[in-house]
Amino acid sequence: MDIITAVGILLFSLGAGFLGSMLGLGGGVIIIPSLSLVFGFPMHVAIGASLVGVIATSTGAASYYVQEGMSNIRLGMVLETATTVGSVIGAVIAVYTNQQLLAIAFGILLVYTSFYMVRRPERLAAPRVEEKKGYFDLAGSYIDKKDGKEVSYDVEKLDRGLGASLGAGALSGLLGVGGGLVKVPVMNIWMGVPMKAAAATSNFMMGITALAGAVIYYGYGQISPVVTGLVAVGIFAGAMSGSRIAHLVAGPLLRRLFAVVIAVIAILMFLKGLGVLTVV
Amino acid sequence: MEKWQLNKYVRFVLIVGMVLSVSVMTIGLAAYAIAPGSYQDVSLSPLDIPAEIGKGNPIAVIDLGILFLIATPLTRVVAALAFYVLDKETKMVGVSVLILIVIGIAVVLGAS
Repeated sequence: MDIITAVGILLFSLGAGFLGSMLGLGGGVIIIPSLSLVFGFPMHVAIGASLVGVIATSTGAASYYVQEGMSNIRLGMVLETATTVGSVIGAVIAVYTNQQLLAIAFGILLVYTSFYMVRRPERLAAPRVEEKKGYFDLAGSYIDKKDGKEVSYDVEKLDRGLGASLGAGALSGLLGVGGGLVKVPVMNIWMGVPMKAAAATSNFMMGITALAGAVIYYGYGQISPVVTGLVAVGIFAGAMSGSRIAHLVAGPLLRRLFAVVIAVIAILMFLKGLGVLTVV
Repeated sequence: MEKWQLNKYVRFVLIVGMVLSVSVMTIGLAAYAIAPGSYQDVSLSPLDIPAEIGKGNPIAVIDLGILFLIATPLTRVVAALAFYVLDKETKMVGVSVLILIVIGIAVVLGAS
């Protein structure tokens, strides 16, 4: 690998970690197209590197969010029981799946991501009215840095959340992403978790979700150490800075810009999947 | 025990894992940059890593960093499990054990 490619991978990974940590995503939606389309790596290598990168985003961002009390550890761990099962199933399927099919599936995921980034409905959490404990006592609270007020919330519809987490895990193992695209809206809209806590909890969970898939990729020899090392180091740096300035950035503008970029990448991935495009 | 104590333990594990894995991967990447192309960019079996590091293989060093990183979320589940055992939180002990069992299955599938 030449020095320009190495620096390029580092820079793309830095951006992926930065944006991923702010939006509650693992960064895989940037890493996989970058490695596959810009640098010409096979999809399996891109997915393997991305899974390890997702662990890096999770570790870097969660170390901050956990300190701030934003990640709901109990909720995250309960949902992880479903995401890990999904991730193992997804990774085993992916190892035996055709590259072009994976590219098309990833393109579909990107279209959804783009749509989600533009629309992104936010449900405002209803304040806790009484001290009631559910089966796992998942209620949480954190201090919102924007106004210094404490936000307390209950967690609803755990069964739906577990079902969606199974799907998010399968997506993670199959396509090398963190699954935050599914987990964040589900936690917010279905389960009543405030958006900031949902993004922080999603970041916390991603490490263990991607771990199940990464272990299988490592075992099958689908991890390229140099590419993966560059991705992980770049993502770490990006996630550490992104999580610290997330509350200062104008979210809607950033999300719209991100959506446009993702839409363009989706078109390129479709072209790759259909065999029209090999490397940009 | 209080919620902030669990947060403190989990954060400690994440920070240690992060520093360790990034440091080792950076050393490996720097060593690889000095002699690019001398070694194949293919991951090694975890059992072969110590011997290959002894031979000065930078790929083995990067692999070790990747394994440290992969082990970090696993270690934080173990840390949470220890916390819940001490706190006698049976349900969360069950949750933590279930996660570890699924990861164990993934390791067996990967190894096979």
